[in-house]
Amino acid sequence: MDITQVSAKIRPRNHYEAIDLGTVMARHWLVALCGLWVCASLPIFLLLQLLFPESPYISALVIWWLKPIFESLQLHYASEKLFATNVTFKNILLQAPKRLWRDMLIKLTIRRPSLSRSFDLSVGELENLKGVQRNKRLNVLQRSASSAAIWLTIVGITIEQILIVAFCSLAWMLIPPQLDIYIDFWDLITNAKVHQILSWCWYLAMALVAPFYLASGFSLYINRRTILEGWDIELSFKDMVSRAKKEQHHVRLNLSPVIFFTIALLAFASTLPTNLYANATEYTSSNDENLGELVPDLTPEAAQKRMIFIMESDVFNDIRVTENWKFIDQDSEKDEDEDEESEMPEWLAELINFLAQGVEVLLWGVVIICVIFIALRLRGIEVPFLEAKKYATAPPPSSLFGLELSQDSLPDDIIGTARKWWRKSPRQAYSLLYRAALSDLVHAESLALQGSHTEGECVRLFKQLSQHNSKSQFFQVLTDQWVMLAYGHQRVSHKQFEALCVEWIQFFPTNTPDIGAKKG
Amino acid sequence: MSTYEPSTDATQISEDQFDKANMLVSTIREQINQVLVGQTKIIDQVLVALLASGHVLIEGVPGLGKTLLVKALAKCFSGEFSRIQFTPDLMPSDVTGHAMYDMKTEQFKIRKGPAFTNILLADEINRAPAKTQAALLEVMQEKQITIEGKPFDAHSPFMVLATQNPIEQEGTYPLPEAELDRFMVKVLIDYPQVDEEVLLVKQVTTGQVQDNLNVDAIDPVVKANQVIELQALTASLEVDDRVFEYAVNIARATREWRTFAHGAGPRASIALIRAARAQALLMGNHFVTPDDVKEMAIPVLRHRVSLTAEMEIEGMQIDQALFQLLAEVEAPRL
Repeated sequence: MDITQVSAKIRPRNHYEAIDLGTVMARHWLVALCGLWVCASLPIFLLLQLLFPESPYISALVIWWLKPIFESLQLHYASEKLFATNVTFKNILLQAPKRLWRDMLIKLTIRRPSLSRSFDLSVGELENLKGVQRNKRLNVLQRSASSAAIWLTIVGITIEQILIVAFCSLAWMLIPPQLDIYIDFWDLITNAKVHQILSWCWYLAMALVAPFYLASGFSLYINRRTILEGWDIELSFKDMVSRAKKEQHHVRLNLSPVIFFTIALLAFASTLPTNLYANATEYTSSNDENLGELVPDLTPEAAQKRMIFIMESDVFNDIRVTENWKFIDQDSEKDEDEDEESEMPEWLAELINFLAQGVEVLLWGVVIICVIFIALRLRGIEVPFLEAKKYATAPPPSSLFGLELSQDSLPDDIIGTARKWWRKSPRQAYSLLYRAALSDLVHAESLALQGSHTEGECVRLFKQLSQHNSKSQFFQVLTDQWVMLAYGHQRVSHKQFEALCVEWIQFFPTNTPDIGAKKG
Repeated sequence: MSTYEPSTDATQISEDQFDKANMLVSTIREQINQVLVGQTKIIDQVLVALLASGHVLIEGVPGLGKTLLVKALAKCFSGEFSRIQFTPDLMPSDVTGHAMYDMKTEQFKIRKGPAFTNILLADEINRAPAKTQAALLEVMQEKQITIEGKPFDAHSPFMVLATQNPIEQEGTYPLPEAELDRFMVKVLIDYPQVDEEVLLVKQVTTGQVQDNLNVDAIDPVVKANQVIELQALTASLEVDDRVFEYAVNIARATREWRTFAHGAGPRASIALIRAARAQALLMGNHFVTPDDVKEMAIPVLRHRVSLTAEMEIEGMQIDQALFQLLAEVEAPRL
């Protein structure tokens, strides 16, 4: 890595400025970064689509899980490009199999849930650090950049979700309104075709977001190193060196008598005593050499010796004692004393520590119980103590369609009363039977009836509920005769009525607990 | 609880008369079912309109047998049938007829238009401008046609079956509310089920050169005067007061329902009872039940109401809204 070759301007930036730089980098190399991601992921995605045609979302989920693997390719490309190495898309692709397998297990397990993935990836991939060394390095690097890296991930996830919704909405909007189709929401989300479309939308969103996410994280990393290692200062020094070298070379080549004369004059002038020179007397007098002078072609050892020499010189060890008056507030003195007194006793600190550990254990216990509970519920096993109370079924209505359906409103002996009324008013007798039957269906059979249900609908609903048993057949006969009498104003024969009364006992026993307590 | 009071206005129908009518209706239904496969409900709704002396607006995408249904119905009864293909340049006189100067006799002669028929198929009615559509208003409501200021009686029975296409709305003229209200029912034809479509394809392709479904298999089973008798019988079926109230309550509920920008008028209540009577006859009943009313409510009301802008934006369909309305209107219990 040669930082003099870097293609971006290196200077200390704040974190969000660094993310901006990452976005610019991603835009600059978008085709290559996207291409690498797609080349690595598409074959796996298509294969999974073929293997699980019934559950297409599995393919998108797997690709999402494998993201760190694909991102390592993009990271290499971005890092090589930033330091202006002659790397090509093809080179990276050729090296891909080796790179994809590297640290795969750890990347997909322990490191996968990390919220600062794009930032951490550089430490593992570019610095080749592992284990404790990596952790130490990350601790140093993340000290101030971790929150930005976490926010970067959160924003990345959000943008990915927005893109998925946007793609789906676009597909929805492209349906011509003239088609006038009505699609039930639940049918839609359970449809395998819709799952397939969703999985493709998810894949596309991941492919589009990945370059920006990765480059922004990488840029954050570069910025953090710039700050820590003073890359900008190093670059400035290197610039100075190269400039100085150029000037020396230039002087050697083009030294004309005039310039030589001018420099000589200047050199002479610089030796003349001035005020400034007088102030620095101590400095110059104590040093044989000019410390500020640039010494060309130093070996590293010589440079180090010179550095130590300079650091030990008086310039860096100028100790001055100054005295002045300072106002000392008496209150602040008291506060300081109180602080010393209010220091926590050791036993209390231990107690708090013990309690904190207990709470930690308790919280972990709750988390473990929750996980076990969810796992059991997903397997369809009911946990007796943790089950929520079942919703109580709504009480059956006391009146429907303007008819009193409560059991209290019916006589004890329905058939006896109906027979008694038959002679006077057949319609009244049938009305009682129909009402009693409806009351039984609503209370004993828990048939959910509404005020808008017609007689025919009541029969159909009961048939569905009872799966066409003999009671439903009986109810249909009763309803038919009731409708004929009520709406058709036609007479029902005594024989039909008697047959109904005889059968009634079979289906609606009067001494059942449901219709037991009836009043006349 | 109300007491039993037989209605006094209903004409007594003999059992024989009713059985004969019922058999005739079943025969017509079977005949049409022969050629129009998988559209039983649609056929029933069209027959309801025929028995109730109403007009039908049929809506469906091309190729679902709208025209075939009308042809089959016309073939069933040995009456007159004419078809008008509505186009943007169709004039009102092309529908009703016009006066023509005869050079020989030096007199104006009335040339009657295709509206002088028993069954009139107005194909793609929304392709003609409003004035041409309005030419049908008089004949549909008054059963008479005025040409050059002279009224002529339309044939009896007279029924208009208009078709329109829900897609390809470009260059069409939506029917005005007054015109829509003249149609007793609006029938929506949907795609047939798989097995029914297989049967249909088999019928069309076996031993036939052209794609058309022909109506040759249908025999004329009913005469024009028999249809008039059937209509008279339908009109005299027993309807209880509570059923009348139920029909009116449904129509009135559409006016107060917040989903609708405008509800159905009294003509809807009238059409609903007439349609329910015909439905009862189709079901083989001597009297009308709330079930018959509820069954016919959606076809009778769907073209008479319109959704509010908010509901349309939300993607609500008229049938959906009517279904919700019917679930709220209390059914009668005597």
